[in-house]
Amino acid sequence: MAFAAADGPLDAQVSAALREFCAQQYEASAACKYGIDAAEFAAMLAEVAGQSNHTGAANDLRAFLASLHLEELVLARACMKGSESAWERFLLGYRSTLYESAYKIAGAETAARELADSLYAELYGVDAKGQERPSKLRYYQGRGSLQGWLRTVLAQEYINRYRGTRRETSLDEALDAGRQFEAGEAQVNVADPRADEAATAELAALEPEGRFLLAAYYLDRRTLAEIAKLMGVHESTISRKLERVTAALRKRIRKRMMRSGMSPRQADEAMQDVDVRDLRVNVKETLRQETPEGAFYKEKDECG
Amino acid sequence: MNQKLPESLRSALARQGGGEVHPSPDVLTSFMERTLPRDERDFVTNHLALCPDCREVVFLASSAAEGAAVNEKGSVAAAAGQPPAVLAETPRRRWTFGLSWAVAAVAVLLVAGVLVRQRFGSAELARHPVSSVASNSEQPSVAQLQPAAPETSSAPEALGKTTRATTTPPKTAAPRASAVAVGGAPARQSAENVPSETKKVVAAPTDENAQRPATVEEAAKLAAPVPATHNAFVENQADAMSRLRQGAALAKPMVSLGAVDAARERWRISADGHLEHRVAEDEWARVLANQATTFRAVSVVGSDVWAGGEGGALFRSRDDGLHWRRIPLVTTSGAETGTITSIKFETSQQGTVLTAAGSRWTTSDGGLTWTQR
Repeated sequence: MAFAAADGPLDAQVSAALREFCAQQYEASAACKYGIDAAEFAAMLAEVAGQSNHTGAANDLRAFLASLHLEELVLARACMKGSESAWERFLLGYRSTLYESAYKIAGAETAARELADSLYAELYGVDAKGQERPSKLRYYQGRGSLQGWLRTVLAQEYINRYRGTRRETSLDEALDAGRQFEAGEAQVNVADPRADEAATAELAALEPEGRFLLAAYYLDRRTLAEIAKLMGVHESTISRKLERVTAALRKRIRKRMMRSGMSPRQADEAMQDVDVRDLRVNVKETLRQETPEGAFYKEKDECG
Repeated sequence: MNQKLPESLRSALARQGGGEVHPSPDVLTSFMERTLPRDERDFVTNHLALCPDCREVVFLASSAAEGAAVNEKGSVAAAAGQPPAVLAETPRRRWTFGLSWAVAAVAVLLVAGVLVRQRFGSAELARHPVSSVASNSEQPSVAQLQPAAPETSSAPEALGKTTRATTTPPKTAAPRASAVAVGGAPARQSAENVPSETKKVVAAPTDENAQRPATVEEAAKLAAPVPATHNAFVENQADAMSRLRQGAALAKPMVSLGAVDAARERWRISADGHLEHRVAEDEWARVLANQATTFRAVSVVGSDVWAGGEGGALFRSRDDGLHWRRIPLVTTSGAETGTITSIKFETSQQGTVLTAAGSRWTTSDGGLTWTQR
């Protein structure tokens, strides 16, 4: 078995675990059906494990490898290699998903088809000008299902395209279309900096899930149903969690403000909504809402 | 959610820094599919709390997945006692959830009826032993109503298009069938694959005289080791009723429930130990046919399908059988080699695997890691 693709030399136990896993799973993964031999298969797994930093301990590696969508990973790599039977399988099993997902994401048929066609070309290893380039399937590592990965990549592409299109829209056209620009979140400068410090400190101490829920619900204005679907729980669970997190956070912030010398009344006032007349809005910062270009391209480079 | 967020907190939330290194689409997908290990999941959750771009991606991808995850297994998962959280997304799910509760209620009523009947019957026997025996001779017992294996002398010819005819004598096949259907599922028959006469017996077991098999062939068909489909729904029923099961008496409600639920069945273990998936009304396709394993148990939760059998072989599909992966049950002392006789997943994450040797393997992360007890 070859492990040349791994980032560094593997520990003997880890190598043995990888070898054992490859021996067990090579047949079941259908790699041979697509012309991937045992050495390539092992190198592929070593590469995936190395990129995911799961080469530290044998047990860790075993658990990681067992969690991979092995058959789909093999299929993706076989498609990258140009295996016709792999592409047939991909067309049969995933092309419809690709277009259905694109339609759900883009909403309009033309945009959806354009989005899906574009990604399909990238998966095939052709750019917009028809020139060959490495297939985008090389980024698929088998951590999630291939269908789910296609949906996520479509979502990324759509967001990037949407941003690009939005930047190209002229102000005159938007005004002609009668569109009104939504005011951004006002940059609030809280009167007492101690309130700000307390909120920042307590928020930083909050568990990741709590912060994610707060950000999704209060900043992104996602519905309870949307968050619940993503988290795989009922929306009433999300509602209860949000109530609990918000209430606990308010209490802790209030306590911290009082510890920093604020009176109970000052703390209570600071926890109230700020009067709009007290806002000091930084117009420049408020208008700067665009995400830096290529946020996801940067991530792609890291993956590659 | 009526609470408002103080502006100081809202601005602190919006100002959160970090999150520059975005998780790959692969990891985000795994996060959405809830298959990430705990530490990585926390890392991604933390990143999502900080990064509006990635939040937008996951919500968009999650909305695109709507409908894809909904399948007919939802009803099975609901009946298996999964939290309603994952099931209450669509009217169809709500409908199947309600139906499953109705089925459970019917089961409870039937069990209660049988118990009352037994209690009443035993009291009558104590008071009038002779008349009770005479009554029994006139009216066949519940056990008699069942297509009892020992009465048969041959095996069925064909249970379905792809099901092999078995030549196993019923006396040896019957225990095998019960072993496959751990949890008392032997009476659970796939109504689509049994002769129409059998369907009548299954659907209305109380109408015993009209449904008794008239010929030896019919009896053989009825008594054959009809592959018992085995899933979490069945197991939960079986667990609930195992305390009450006495002899063949409770086979009666189980048969009825099996018939009610048979319309939803899509997975089964054939009599000769093959895993099969229903592809059409009366057509079953063999799955994992290239495996030498003799399968003994299958469990379905949502689109997750688990199958296990001899030699400690455990397979999992996350996409309703489209793709399979063998899951090793390994500890530092070695790999599991015993025959897997039961797979029970209460949710997509929490499951238990039992082997014939008495080993008990549990997972709480969807099969990523296993603990042997």
